[in-house]
Amino acid sequence: MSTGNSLDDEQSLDFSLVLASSVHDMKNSLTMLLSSLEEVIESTPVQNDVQSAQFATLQYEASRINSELIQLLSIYNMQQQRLSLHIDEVYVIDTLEEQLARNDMLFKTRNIRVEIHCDDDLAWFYDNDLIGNVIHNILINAARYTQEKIRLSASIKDQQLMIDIADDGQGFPDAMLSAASLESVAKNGGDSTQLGLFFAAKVAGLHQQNERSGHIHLTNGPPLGGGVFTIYLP
Amino acid sequence: MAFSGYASLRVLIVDDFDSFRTTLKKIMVDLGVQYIDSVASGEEGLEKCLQNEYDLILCDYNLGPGKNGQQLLEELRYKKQLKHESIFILLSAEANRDVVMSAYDYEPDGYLTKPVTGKTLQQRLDRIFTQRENLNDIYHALNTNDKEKAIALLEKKIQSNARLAMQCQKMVAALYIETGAYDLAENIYRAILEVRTLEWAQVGLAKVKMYQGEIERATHWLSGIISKNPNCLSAYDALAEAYKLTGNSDQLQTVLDVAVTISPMSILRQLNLAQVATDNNDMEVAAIAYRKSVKLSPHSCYHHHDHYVSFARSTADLYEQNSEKAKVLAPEANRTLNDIQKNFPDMALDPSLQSTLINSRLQVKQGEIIQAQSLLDEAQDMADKSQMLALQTEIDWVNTLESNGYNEKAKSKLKKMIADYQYDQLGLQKIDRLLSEPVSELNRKAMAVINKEGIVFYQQKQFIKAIEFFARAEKRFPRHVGVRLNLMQAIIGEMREYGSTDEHMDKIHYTMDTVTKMINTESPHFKRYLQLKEMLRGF
Repeated sequence: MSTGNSLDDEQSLDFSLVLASSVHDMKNSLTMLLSSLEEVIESTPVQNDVQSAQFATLQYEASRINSELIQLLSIYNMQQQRLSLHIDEVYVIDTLEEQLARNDMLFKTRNIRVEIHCDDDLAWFYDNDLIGNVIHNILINAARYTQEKIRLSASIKDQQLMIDIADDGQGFPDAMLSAASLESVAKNGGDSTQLGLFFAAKVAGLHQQNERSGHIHLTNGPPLGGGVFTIYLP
Repeated sequence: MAFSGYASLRVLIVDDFDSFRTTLKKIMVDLGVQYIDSVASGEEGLEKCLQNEYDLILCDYNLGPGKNGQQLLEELRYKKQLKHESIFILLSAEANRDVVMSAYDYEPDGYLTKPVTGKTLQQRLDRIFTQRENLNDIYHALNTNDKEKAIALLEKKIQSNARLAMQCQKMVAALYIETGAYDLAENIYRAILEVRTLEWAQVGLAKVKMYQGEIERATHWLSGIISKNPNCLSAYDALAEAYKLTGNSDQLQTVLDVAVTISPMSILRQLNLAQVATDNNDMEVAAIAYRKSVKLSPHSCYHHHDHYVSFARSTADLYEQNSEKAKVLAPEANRTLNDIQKNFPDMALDPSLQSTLINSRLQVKQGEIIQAQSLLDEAQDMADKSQMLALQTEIDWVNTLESNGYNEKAKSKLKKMIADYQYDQLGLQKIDRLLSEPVSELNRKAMAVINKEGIVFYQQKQFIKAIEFFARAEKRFPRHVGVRLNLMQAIIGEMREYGSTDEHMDKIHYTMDTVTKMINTESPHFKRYLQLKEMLRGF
């Protein structure tokens, strides 16, 4: 056990701490920005296609920054061992609908149709907040590459929950599909898709049961012909 | 699963930003809510809740100066202003819910990360209210404190294998524990754990074992849960309860010390740690925990002058144990005593007296002899108005007299106190701290046992065990010369057998210095003291 209260409140300056607190501030500002943006879109009906596209871009980029900041903070907390799992029984449909609701405006402005295929009574054990954030990131990413459709589905296979997120875009690049481990791609690569996958792989791996760990998998093709992201949770 | 009852809900919105309030209000109106109040601060929120019964409270975490959202929730729960079925949802920009949720004493019913869209909020509310509707009769039974009925209803729900079976199992197991039906609770937790390793069920099962008397097993399990998840607050709380039951006060303090770092905003845990450390006579930990309690208290429902007085008192006590560290805290202790007058102008006589007396003690320690004397005189004037003073005030009085050099006065006051409290064992136990020999039955027995067992260890040449024993006794009976002499003798035994270490030398010299200050030639221990002093020269 570590020691508790200390006489001296001052901590030595630690760059990662500075970074984390400034990310935290950015997130606060962004929250204000996003909610004002939503109000603007609500109160100013779209006049033409150009304006609609501009709103969509604003909305999309702001959501992306937001979700990346959440990822950064979560990864920071993971490293500080301050992120603990809250695993409980969750209805999968609730998690999926929650993320859809969260990105409702994004899908509307981009004219994306989203389908859910999930039994209403399907329940599983996982951390709803963390898995929710993973799905959120993947959805934002899918919204960028898909043409017009995203399909979410969930089922149990071999004592594991399997959540698929499929789109009808170009699919993931070959390098990403064939990488030996997604974690290594994320560490070596630089772009945000890969940070998202790194985060997803980390969160999946935190879920363990009977010596099995959660993991993620990428493919291209059916059901919609584009990329398919799958997360397995034992 | 849309919820159809929005029209009849009474909703309160608390957010310091006008635009957020408007947004939330609009979302509520769109859902069909007709009765909406909205306010900008935690204080106004509290006032509204005292006037009205709300079904739903949407509250921002960061509300600017004044109470934050969590503190509002705590105060509402503390004042029992929330019905069991009322929903309190905390909104925050904080990505890591732990930072907000487990930092405090109470958890809200829901936590939403900002930005919150209308859709998100509706989806969450639909789910929560459908669930509440489903469990309505159970909440009703809980509101009227009819636990038997709540249990019966929950059992029925679980059997019908409804959608919320697991939530019902969680609730019913907790109720089984509350009503003493430990075997039934155990069955539930075991059944759940067969399917899945869930933390709340593990902690629940450990608690059951603890209440069934298998405390060692419970502490073992709880330590295991903590080593897997060092942030599991409920496991720390249960472990603290277990150590309290076994009277293991050192480990109790260690657990509480870790719990306050995980839950830094929890004033109740700080106060608990401060109290336990005071009982253990570990004044450094006590002073720091009381200082934190004072810092946390202004917007909390636990704002009380006692924390201020206790911080100053523990700082004054710390001078006896570690004057360097006490010096660091002293300026803040002075300020805290000044703040008492400001924050609690209508304080009763006892706490005012205590504050004045402790102030006098602190002034002596800081070399302000004249100021100390005038505070002591001031206390005397105040006390003349009253016949009966609280025991704590009397104890502070004795300490202050001693600090100011009035040893004879202190002695006669102590004598009178022992006489006054002769039929009050709890009172005598408190007075024991000031005496060289305990007078309460409990402490006399404890003293005898500790000495006897310590001496047995010493005779068996288990010196480390003997040292541990006497060190614990020294903490409990700080003015007992005999215990300290025993402690020194055990250390000398250890060093003769296994060689001296810096740690042992430090401890023995420190103890010798302390005894030298306490003892005089009339003491029955004086001869032994001289002998030990002579032995110490050999090292």
